[in-house]
Amino acid sequence: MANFFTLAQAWRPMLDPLPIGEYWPFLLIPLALGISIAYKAVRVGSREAYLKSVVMMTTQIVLAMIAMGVAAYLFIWFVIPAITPISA
Amino acid sequence: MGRSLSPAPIQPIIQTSMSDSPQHTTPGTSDSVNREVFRPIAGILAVLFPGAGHVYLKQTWRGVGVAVGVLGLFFGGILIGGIDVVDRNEDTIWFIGQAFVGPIAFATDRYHQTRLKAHEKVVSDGKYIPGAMRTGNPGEKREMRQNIPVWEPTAGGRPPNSKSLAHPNEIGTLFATIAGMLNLIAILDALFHRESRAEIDLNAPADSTDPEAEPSAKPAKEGA
Repeated sequence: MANFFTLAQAWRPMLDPLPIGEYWPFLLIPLALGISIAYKAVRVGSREAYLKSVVMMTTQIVLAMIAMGVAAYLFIWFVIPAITPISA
Repeated sequence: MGRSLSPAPIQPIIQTSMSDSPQHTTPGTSDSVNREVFRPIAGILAVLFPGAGHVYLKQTWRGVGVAVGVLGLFFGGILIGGIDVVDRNEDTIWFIGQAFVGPIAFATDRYHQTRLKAHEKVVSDGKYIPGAMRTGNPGEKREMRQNIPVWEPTAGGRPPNSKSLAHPNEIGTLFATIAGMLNLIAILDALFHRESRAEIDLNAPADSTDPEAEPSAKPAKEGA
């Protein structure tokens, strides 16, 4: 975290890349939110249902990505070694 | 055994693929409100600025939603990866997607190419020959030599922007490109507008709200 603040002091917004380091997976949340805001504005039927739809879609995207990440982890670390024995 | 062979009666359900909610239809008006109507002016406005097409169609909240989402993603991508994520020459395929954000994407790329990049310094017989156009490295400064922007090695020099690499570059590029793809959806929605998603105000006069409405179509309520 200290490294982040040190780098951030030299950061010029919009000109230099954000020194986000290892925290980059958290950018999934604004990505999902932005997609939901724009997509549901076109898709949803009424203004009253808009905010609820945006929150719902954002949550669905984030949870689905986490679930796929867990599934990929389990597949790589447990399923693949089980079906392809590696000789020493 | 005792089942009847006669078909079930067909219910007059009108449904479109563009809606998340039940349709608001009225007897006698369903044909007109469910039809796609070609709206060239709305389409052009949607290309020029995200959400402007829907604002023109008197669906302000949709336009604001599209603008916030698309521009938020586009400038969010530039904030994450720097302006280097919008580069027509070096990331052409990605820029095709980003171009659907509209003139803002082209202006951003233009600024990047002409104000931030410079040529590799190549001197032949005392003349500067434009070398490869690129982003500066640390220790270089952008200088004008014979009206050509070139990179000059300078102690402690810092180029006007930095090349983005790895995750910030990937995610920033993704943000900006998804913004363009979402605006393409909004452009098509404004261009081929379907009335049925809007709530119908039965009390509104026929020509009060929709600037391109056909005489047979019921107008959409503002903000619906």
